[in-house]
Amino acid sequence: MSWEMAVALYATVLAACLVFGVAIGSAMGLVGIMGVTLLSGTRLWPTIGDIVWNTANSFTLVAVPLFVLMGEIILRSGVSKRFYGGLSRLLYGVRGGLAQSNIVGCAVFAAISGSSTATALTIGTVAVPEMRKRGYSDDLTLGTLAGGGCLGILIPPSIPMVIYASVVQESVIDLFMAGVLPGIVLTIMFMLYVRVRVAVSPQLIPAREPRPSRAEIIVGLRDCIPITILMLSILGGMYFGVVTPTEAAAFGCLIALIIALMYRELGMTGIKEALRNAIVTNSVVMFIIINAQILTYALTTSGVGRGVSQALVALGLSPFAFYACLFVIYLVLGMFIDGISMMLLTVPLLYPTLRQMGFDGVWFGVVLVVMIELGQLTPPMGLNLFAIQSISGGTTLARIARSSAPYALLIVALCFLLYAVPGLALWLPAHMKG
Amino acid sequence: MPPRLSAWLDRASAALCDFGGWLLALMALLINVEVFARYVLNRSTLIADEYAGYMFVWMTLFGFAHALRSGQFLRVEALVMRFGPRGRAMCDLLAALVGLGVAAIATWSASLLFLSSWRFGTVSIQPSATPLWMAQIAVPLGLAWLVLLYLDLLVQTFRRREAKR
Repeated sequence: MSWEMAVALYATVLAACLVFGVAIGSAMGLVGIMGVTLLSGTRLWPTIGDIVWNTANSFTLVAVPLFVLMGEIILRSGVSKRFYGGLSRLLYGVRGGLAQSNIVGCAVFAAISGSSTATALTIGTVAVPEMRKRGYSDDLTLGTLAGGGCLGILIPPSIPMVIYASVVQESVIDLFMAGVLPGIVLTIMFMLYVRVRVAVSPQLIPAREPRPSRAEIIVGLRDCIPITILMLSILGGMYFGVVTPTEAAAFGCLIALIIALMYRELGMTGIKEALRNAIVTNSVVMFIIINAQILTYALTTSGVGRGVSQALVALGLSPFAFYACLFVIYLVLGMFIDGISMMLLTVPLLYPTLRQMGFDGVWFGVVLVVMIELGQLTPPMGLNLFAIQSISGGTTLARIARSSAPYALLIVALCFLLYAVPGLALWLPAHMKG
Repeated sequence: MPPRLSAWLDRASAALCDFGGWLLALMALLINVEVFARYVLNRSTLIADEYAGYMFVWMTLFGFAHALRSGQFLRVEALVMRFGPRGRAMCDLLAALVGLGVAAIATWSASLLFLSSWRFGTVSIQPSATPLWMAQIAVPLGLAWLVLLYLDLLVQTFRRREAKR
């Protein structure tokens, strides 16, 4: 069978399975097994066991459940309310008030907790009633929460980056460092947008905010310290080569546990829940990763990966045209499929082409995560939109999508900024290596 | 399968998930001990990376069951949600069949891997020289458990259809 026929067959079966609600992992596994079988009957089936074993026995991927556990502990530690409260006092005077706290708070908290949905729920539960009480416009509140939550997967530690690194064999530390500057730039872009928006429409925020006293500012500083220490110890440990990403994740769990015990809000039940949720989240992600590896094996052995790569290169598209095509593909996929599935479905096919066209693997990892962020804000399946809707007290999804649209556009702008200035992602990892 | 067996499968899957949770806690502890030993005692446990990998295999494979049972495996639901009850039941049937087929083939294949390590007494290349079958046994077991759960899902879906008739 030619690779063109194989691609058509794989794509049809995969699309049919996905459309009719087959679990994404199972659909990938089925197409993988089908591909292997078409190529050489059942002769290569024993390899599937090796693939499952080798994928599940990966020290790089061990970081995934550990980072999830760290986030689960932090979410139950009571630190979110204190952090958000402290941040809002520290950001007093920045035009936009609590809307700016939403962006910074969600960005930092989502990075630590590893889940933008959980962050939107945790911070949103505190922020929405408070901002409504003070007279902030709902459009501003809901948009900043949905947009801010997306920032977390770009700012390290980032689970999608660990998975990408494991699939394409790039360095996790390089990817984490490459995400720092784009994460900061996007946070600043969001904050500048809020600043301009409230300058143009001052009615979106209350005329006067209560000025925090010096004592309140000191308490605010104290409340922000635990999260800052956690983040700096993880990033610093990796940056200075003291620990590997997996060790940083385990160390992060320890610090998170100490913080939670310090606040006395985490009991044995909470720890059990955190452990169980971490295992379930890890299994959901690993189910897709393992099946994606089976599919990748089929793509490689049947020559589909090489064929697609050569055909794409032969099209003679300029790098920018190719990048724009990728952008459209990810925009559409992100509307329907979660980020990790989207990554694992496309990377095995596109990565060889990208490398052949001269794109950097680490840079592309960052771009991909930015595209995943975009997918979290684009209806009909934008996960952050649903999360915000669940805490907004009956606001329609359409209104939340409209409120988040400017942030989605800013993410699009970052995608193209990263194309124009790749150094934005690549400078820090290069600098780290000296 | 009788409803009591389904309930038992639920409880057993949750218990396996909790077991994985404690393995995760143990793994975090082991890695922290390794970091402490390296920088404070100037020594190494020599097993942290290797055993963290084995524990990861166990917690992942045994976690699949509860993830499936609690409906957490990710799927695209945009179209399925628009179907009526019969259409949704057909989709559930298809999902269970595909899941069953993939899990069954993977179980068979993983069993061969485990049996090969068992027969030839394969040990890890690390200083611990751990017999690999001890770590690999989780792969066929976890996948076989998944096969059982998919079979139960199929029976439940059929039963629901029969009840509606």
